[in-house]
Amino acid sequence: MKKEIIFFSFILFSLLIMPFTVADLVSPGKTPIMINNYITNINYFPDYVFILCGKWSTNNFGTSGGLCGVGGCKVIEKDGSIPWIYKFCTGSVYAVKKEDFNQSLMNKDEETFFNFLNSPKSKEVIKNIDSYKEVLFVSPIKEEKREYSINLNQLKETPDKTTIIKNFLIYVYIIVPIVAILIIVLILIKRKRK
Amino acid sequence: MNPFFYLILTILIEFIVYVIAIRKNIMPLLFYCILINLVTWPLANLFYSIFRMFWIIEICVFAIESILIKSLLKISWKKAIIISLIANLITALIAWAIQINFII
Repeated sequence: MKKEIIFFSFILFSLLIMPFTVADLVSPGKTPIMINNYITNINYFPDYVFILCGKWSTNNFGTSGGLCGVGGCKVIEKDGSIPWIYKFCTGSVYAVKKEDFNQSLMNKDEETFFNFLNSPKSKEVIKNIDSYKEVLFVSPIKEEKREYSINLNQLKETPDKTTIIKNFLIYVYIIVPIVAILIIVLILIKRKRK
Repeated sequence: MNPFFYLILTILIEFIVYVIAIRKNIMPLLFYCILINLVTWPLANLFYSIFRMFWIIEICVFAIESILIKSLLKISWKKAIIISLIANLITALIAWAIQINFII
């Protein structure tokens, strides 16, 4: 009996500890997941600056200069990583020729900057980018990686490639009780046979 | 906090209650306590995350643990229910206090 106890304890604790050592705390209820957006071919356009701007989900530019407005506009770095967008906003990426772009424009008032974005000097190349999504706690989806390749003659509304990163910690919450119940049933059967 | 910590804490508290109530066969008691909590704790967390009905889930846990304690520890129904009630009341109150603390 002692050997069996040690054996089953080892199995159960291994099942429990292993996933927790590699996974973060799982939030209760509906949980937000990270959406990481990337431009895969940003280096193909060395003459351009790419700017991310958020719009409120109602499709209007922000008016507060805050998270969705000019304050939320950012120049996309050379690694192609698209910055985080506030959850109630969707982002658009604008391509601007380096010779036409002046960083100080972003510090001017919203109207001036948005007029510039809507001018022929700027071209919207990606729209409907978001960084926020909620999934049910029981969902194994933990992260989404969305990749866009820029085509200056096309306005992209969906990513070219989406990779879903899963974390199977949730299944531990289902498998462990099943294993424990099986062990209990085995113990009770064994006792009855005696 | 790592959820594993809360599981260990639950096992520890319930084990103390078991020991106080039964007062013999400490190692098998610990094993059964772990087994019982490995059935109820993950399921309780899972159901709580979906349904958010804390006290109803706790009552279900109390009922299931009463049956398991009775079956595994080979004690009377009355004793099993009392042990389960005390153990789960303590852990539920701690969980509730932690929850309130997070909200505040």
